[in-house]
Amino acid sequence: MGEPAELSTGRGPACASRPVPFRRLFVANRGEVAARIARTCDRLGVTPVFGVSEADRDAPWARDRERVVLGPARADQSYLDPVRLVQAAVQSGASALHPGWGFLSESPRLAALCEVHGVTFVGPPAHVLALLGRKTPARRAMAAAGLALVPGSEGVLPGVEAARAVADSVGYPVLLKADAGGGGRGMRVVHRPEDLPAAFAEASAEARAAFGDGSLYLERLITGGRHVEVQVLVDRWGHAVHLGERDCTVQRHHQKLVEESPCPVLDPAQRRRACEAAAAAAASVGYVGAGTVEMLLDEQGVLRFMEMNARLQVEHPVTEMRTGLDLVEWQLRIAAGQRIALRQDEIRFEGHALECRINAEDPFDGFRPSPGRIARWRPPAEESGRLRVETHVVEGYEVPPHYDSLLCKLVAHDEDRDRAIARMLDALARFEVEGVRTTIALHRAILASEAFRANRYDTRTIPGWPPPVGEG
Amino acid sequence: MIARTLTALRAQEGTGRIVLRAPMVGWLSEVPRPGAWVWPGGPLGMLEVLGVRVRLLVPEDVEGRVVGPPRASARVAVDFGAPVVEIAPSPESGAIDAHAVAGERAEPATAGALVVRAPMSGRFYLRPSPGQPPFAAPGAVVERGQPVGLLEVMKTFHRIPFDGVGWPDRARVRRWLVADGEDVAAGARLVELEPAP
Repeated sequence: MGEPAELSTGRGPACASRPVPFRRLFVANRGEVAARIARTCDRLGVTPVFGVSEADRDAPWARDRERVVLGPARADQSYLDPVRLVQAAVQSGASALHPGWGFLSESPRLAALCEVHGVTFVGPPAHVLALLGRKTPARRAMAAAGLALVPGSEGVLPGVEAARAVADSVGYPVLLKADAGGGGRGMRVVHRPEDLPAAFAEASAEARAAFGDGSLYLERLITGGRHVEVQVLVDRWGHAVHLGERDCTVQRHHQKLVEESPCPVLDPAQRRRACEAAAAAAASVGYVGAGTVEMLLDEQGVLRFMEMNARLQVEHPVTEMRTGLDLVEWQLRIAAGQRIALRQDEIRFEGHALECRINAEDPFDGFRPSPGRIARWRPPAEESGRLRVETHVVEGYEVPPHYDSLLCKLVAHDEDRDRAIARMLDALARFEVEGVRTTIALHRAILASEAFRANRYDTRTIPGWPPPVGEG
Repeated sequence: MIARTLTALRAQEGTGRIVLRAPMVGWLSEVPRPGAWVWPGGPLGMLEVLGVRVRLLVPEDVEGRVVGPPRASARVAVDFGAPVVEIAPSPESGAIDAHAVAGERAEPATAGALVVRAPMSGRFYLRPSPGQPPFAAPGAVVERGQPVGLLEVMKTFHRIPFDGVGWPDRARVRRWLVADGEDVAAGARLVELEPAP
């Protein structure tokens, strides 16, 4: 907040010199992503208008800015109500709406409502969001583009007998998943054939209750492996490029903690194949904007498609540092109908980038959330092209208990992985926070660990954590 | 789905005034002007939300005279929680509006009294027409919704019922507080009653 608007990717905006045609952009989100979008707006001369809940009325990212109070602190009556968001965008004179990440960022309904009321949605069209929200059409599109899938059913299962036949051919344990699913609902792990009928009935009933659709499909359960994802950009004219991959294997309970690029264990041929397939697949489903194809690198070294995220991702600065591109700027340009003025071979990847998510959580106490007032907040200073600090927090900020725990992202960039790790460790050591518990100590332990440096970890284990007794 | 009616939010100000607030973002219009009388469930304006006109209603426990703010007739964009009107409540709706009571010439109401007030300024009649018996003479028992008088406002006649939040179903008229055919201001005390068994 308050720092120079230029993003410190160090290489300046390598994109079209045409102005972004939006004068006013409605930001339908809060916290770190709201501050991130404002950074690009300031650089481009676009006025951001923030939709805020009552709890965020005086929040630092909206201070001295235009804002519309949407509703009470409860997200379902503020950030999760598409009617309030679009009406607020219309009445504040914004010509486009950025949904950020989380909340309604992948909601076909918000996209459709924007379209009906003459507000440009910064993201894919509603029908593409609806398609990607269903798992089996997305799987089919990715397979057609040449990506390997997790072995499983061709499409939606007609019944439990079909499920049994597929499970027998791919081998147990298997995972039943809701076609319309998400958030773990309508999902069941089945270890033995005799448990399949009951699990099928339960998952189907749960999916029907949660999504109004009980359709299921089935995959072999893959445990461990590494999480690798490919950033793609597709313009409204069908031109797609990829911006390389990110490795997000360091997780806890499916929440990412450390992200880096390039993936340290991927060979060049495999990387190239996966990235090109991801871009082609996104274009083939009519995708528009910035999106991410998530894959699993299994223990046999095969990259398999998991799902496509139809939005900007939290860890996008990792890609920005390596490519010198501002992804929020590209989102706006693409939404405005501008072409991506870059061929794939013009996109250059430099060095190694690493991101650490600083959350208001206590890693020593089961990652318990830690809301409260931030009495002291002294992040390390940004260094152009080398260190970025993405945050909405200022000293004295009261972390509200209503929303997620992300406080800040540190992004380090250097010539190679070891140097990037050293730069990050130095930045973490200089970061002073008091008033709430944070994950800073966790990140220091991870990055210093032999397991992290030698790539001996998968999605099930956090390298270097918990720390050996006597060091915590 | 967008609801077709929404109830305003209320907040009590230190001065005893009630501020009614917008329950939703939208374009606000047709808000009662200063001087107007508002009552529970009564209209407080229209809120246009994505092309849908939503009727904005006064909350159940609020009745009184609009005292501000002055408002342009054109529609305005409001945030959630934005003030719509400020109201000087009638004594029956909770906080006493000392300013309004002090200016009245009628003697103070007796304890336990129910006072029917004028919703608008106009000419008040105690009878349906000259020569006919009054709606409710002192001593008569009226039921909720039954008229106690007639208010002539700009050539139209409005029945003034015995009705109010928290009031009993039946009441006995104690006295008339204005003469038949008298000009009254919005909020003026008209008829005093007491609960009847």
